[in-house]
Amino acid sequence: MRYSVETDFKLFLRNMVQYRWWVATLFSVIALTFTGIGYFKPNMYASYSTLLFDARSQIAPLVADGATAQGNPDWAKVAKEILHSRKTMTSLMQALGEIDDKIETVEQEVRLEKLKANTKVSMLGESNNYIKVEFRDPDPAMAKEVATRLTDIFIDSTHGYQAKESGEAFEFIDEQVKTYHKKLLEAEERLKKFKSEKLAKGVGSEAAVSGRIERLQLVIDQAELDLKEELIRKASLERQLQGEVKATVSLARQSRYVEKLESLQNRLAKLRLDYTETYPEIIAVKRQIDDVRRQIEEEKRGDSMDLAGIDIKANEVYQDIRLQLADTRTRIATLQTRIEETRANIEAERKKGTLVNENDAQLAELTRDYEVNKQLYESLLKRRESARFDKEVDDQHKGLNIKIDQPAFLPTTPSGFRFIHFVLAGLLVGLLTPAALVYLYQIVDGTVKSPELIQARLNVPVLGAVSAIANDRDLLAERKLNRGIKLRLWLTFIIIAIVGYLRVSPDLLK
Amino acid sequence: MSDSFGRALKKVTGPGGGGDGTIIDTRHDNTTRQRRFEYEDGIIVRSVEARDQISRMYQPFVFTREELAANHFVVEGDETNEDAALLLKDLRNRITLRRPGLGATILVTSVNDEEQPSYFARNLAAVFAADENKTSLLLELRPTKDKLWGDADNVAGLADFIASDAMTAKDVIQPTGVPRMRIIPFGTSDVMGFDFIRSTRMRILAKDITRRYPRERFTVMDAPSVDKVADVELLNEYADFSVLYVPYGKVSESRIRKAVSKLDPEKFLGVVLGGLPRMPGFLSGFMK
Repeated sequence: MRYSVETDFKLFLRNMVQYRWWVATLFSVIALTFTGIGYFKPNMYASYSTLLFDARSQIAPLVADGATAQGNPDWAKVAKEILHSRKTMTSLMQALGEIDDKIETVEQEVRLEKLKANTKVSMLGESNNYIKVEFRDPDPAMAKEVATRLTDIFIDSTHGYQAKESGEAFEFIDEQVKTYHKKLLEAEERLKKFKSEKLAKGVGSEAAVSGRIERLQLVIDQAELDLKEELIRKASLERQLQGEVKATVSLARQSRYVEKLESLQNRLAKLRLDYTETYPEIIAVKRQIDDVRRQIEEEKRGDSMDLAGIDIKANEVYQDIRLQLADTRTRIATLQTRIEETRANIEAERKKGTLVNENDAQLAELTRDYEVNKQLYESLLKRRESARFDKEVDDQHKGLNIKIDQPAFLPTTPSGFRFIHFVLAGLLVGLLTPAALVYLYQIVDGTVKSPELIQARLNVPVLGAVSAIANDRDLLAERKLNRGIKLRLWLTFIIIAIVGYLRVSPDLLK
Repeated sequence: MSDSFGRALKKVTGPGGGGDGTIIDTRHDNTTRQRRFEYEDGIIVRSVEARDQISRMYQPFVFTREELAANHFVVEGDETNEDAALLLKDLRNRITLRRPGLGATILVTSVNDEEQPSYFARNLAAVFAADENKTSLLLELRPTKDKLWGDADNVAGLADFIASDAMTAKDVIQPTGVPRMRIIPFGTSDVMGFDFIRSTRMRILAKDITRRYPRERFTVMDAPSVDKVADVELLNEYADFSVLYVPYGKVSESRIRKAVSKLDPEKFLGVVLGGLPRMPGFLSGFMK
């Protein structure tokens, strides 16, 4: 039950006192356990060497654009990988004389795991130019030896790793170059074949086809204009021909009437010579004359359309017009034929045009294919050259410049958790654990233990909080308990002191 | 103070003291009459009068310091129970201030505890008796282990009073080893249940003892747990004040709430949280 920080703290102290037996017991057990662990755990000595390395410091500027595929690897990772690898550990064990050739027994496997567990690799410095190779062992001399050997193995392996990396890179690029070379050749071949097949047919270019179509279109346009002209001309001739026929007929008829009138007048004159005016024949003739005259008048007005008995073809103008008309008709027919044919030609040209377009597209694709392959191939060739360069560099161990900055040394003071750390940790944990448990219990404890809580939560006045009224006999048990706790705590400290002395004295005597 | 205390002791332990355990009638005493003229103030006169009367109370024996401690009395100067002594005195002053010039009946009950509330009630009675003008009576409503009335095994007590109509209150009031403090022991009957609280005899006894000396006597009722014995509620009637003893870390909030609800709020003084762990000296700084 929680109320306020102050109440909580007071309550916590009260609880610590109330459960002091448990607190003290737990403290003793934990402190002694830690001390025991510290006593039996051997001191570990760590020896390490630091390596300084510059990746391609001297040769890097010589490489044109650093086009190598490998770039700069994560050295911390690589170093860990190399140093923790089975190969490294095996060669280490060989160097230490623990095995002859291969790992055979389970004990050797366990030993390998132990060596691996005691090896630590870390990066130092801001630019990660330092690698620290550390080995921990209960024996300082052993720690130094293993650290030295590990460093040597690491340097060798790193060169090997570099060489392997660049070799792999070269091989990969080489493979790619070959592939692209093949592809390029294929593209070239396809282009060649296409050109020889399609373009040899002389289909001509698109421009030529469209030029032709344009010309044909011009022809058609001209012919259509001419045709229109001829048609107009034909219509006009036909109209002329019609008008000529009428005029000719009228004139012919008038001249016949005039001839008839003259002959009638001559006859009248003759008759008049013989007869008087009242003679019937004279009257008949006179009437005839009048008729003819009326007819002539009519003819002049053009009312009569009687063509009967008139030879039109004999008219010269008429003949001429007819000739012209025939001529025009012939020309119209000619023009029409020409237009149709030209149209057919255009159609043919158009068809040809689409074919040309298709060919062009195909050609462009083939060309593009070829160009791309060519570019890739060229850049790969360049890369292969620089990869070859890297490979040569790494093969001659000139790429990675590893120097031993600080060789492994003989450690004098133990590292890591030492006895004193265990003792201190034991005291601290021994104090904190029961305190934490008491506090945990306090949180879940539902009973009333503080006067403040009664006052605040129950709204009931509190007269006071007192300890139990007790006399000496009642306190006997409590005093006994207190004495027991004191004794136990003193014993705990004395045991820790004795164990500490036992532990430290051999080190002092050394 | 110690001088008058000693004098009083001498007098009460003398052979001429009354034998009935009640205050001796001294109205016609010459010394008192003379003093009445000397003091104009009535209260002082009365208190002097009372002191004279009380000093003549029958006191067959007095507890030594060791006996007091053995019977769970808080002894002056004992560091172990210093806090309790302070609280008891404080409580006494509070009660006397509430009823100036009068005695009082105080009900001490508890929530789920056995001995400590009894010790507390006993000490409260002793604190009232420490005033030489007052007397106190402890009414034991439940059996206790300590024999405050002396060595006798069987003395007449509450149980006997309830059982026999022939008994009077005078018969069951016994002197104790504490000057001016009297006790009605629980009595000899072991089998009596707590139903007696409802009985008429109980009523008679309660009325008798609370009415007899309204100015001088403080009666403390050492009642059983209010949450274990339902009839404790009835004692509200006889009491002027009530105090609830709550043991530390033994009961939950709701039980306290329930117990408080059974006590008359007009008469309820408050809660005493008892049985706190005794803190070692080096931690006392944190507990202020």
